Amino acid sequence: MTAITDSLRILRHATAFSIEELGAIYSWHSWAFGWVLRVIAQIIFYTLIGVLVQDPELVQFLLIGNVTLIAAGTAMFAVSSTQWERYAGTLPLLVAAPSRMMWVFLGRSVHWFIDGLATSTIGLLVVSAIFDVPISLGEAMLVMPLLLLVIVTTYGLATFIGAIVLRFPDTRNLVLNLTTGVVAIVAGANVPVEFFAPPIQWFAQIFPVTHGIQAIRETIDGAGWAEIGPDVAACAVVGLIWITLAAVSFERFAESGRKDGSIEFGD
Amino acid sequence: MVGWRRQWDLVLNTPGYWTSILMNPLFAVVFLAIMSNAGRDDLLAFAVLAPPFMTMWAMSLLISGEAVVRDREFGVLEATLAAPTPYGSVTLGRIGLVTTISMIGFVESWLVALIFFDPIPIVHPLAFAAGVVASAFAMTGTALGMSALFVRSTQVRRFQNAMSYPFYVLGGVIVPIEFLPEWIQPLSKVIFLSWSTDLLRDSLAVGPVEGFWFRLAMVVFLGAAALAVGWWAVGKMEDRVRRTGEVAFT
Repeated sequence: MTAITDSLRILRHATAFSIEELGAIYSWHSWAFGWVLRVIAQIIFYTLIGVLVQDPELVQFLLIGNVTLIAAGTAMFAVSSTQWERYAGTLPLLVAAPSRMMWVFLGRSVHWFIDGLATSTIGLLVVSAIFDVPISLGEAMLVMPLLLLVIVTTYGLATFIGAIVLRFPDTRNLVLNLTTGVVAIVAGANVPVEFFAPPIQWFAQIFPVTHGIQAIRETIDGAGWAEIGPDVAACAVVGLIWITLAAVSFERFAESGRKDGSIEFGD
Repeated sequence: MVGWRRQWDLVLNTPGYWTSILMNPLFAVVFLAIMSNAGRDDLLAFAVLAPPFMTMWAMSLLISGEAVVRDREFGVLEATLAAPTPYGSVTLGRIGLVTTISMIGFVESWLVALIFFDPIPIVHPLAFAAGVVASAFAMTGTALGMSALFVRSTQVRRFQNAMSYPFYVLGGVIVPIEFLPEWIQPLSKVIFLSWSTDLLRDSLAVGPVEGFWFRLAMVVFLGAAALAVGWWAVGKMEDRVRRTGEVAFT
């Protein structure tokens, strides 16, 4: 019981730290006039291709796909923010501490949940208005929980990658960008998953966002829970697997560090 | 030359510089797949041209900011500014090298089209080559202009983050600016990317490249204007910090 209470306390502190960190990354105006504008421009960039092709259905397809990619992409920033612990010089202290390291790392990047949900929702509302895509406020409200699901489950993947990349911190942005790039190809955001050969379609299933995009498209199309439910469940299960793998990876990293003293103080 | 050598070492040892080069084929697959899936093979040339411009822009933007950030972090910004060689020429050398390396994006993009989709013929090779060289020059000039902005800011990375996609949209990187609202098109016209991308798209199309010399001149002119502003601004900044001794946090 004490172990559970202790773990939750650590998770709570890590989460509180994470939210404080968001304030250090952005001021409200650098977020609104820098980051949010950039995100809106990114969604416009892809959605415009539908206008170029002169296909209204493609406009909506690219809009939904790229809004969801923004949500997932923001969660993927956890790959980088996991490494910040190393740059802050606190990683060896976490390894030396008696508690499990995973609680710190699972909590220390949750600020991306707030950022990802806010930017993707604003992006959906603003860009759908610009391109006259008929998405009502009500539909956007229905989509929000699904965007949050995509963020949380992708966060599992990102923290797993973050745990691996802890051994190679200089590659953090490279790995983050390449993963996001691969997801943009295979996850059904820009072309249907079926566009690719079957092995690539199977590969796409390992990304929570593949299932999340499908669920969001079905929601916008007015599908019932019988259709949306399996995709939501698949998204949640895949995310849970990644979170479990992340937790195991952090523990293995800590164990190997304690054994051979290979974790140095910052860079 | 010193700038080139220093930057070459940095490029080799910093994974961040390879990111855009490695992302280029992924962007190419995305754009080519969208056009192909929509049954618009006539737009494959648009798809193949966009990633190299994104690579060039991203890498040049990275170096124009990163040169300042790294120099500031390593404490060499002050020493470089104190040296008799103009800071602008050192920075220009470094940006020039990175822009040149970024040209590999054109090769990558064409290879992706060739291997996974359809080969994209270069219908007007001379116009294409002239357009690429002029674009590289304009990019170098623009990046120097940006570094003048960055050198005065401690928020470089935030600027860099915010300056990608807005410029890809305004610069007509994949969708020509005619598809943007009319009121915003004059703004696009002062961004060299809009002239470059249009010119290169036409060099891949069957039919004459209309107004070739004027459009090429516009790319060079906008690049030269940005270069002049950047050179002047960096010089002014150099004079000021030499007088006041303030540099690290200005």
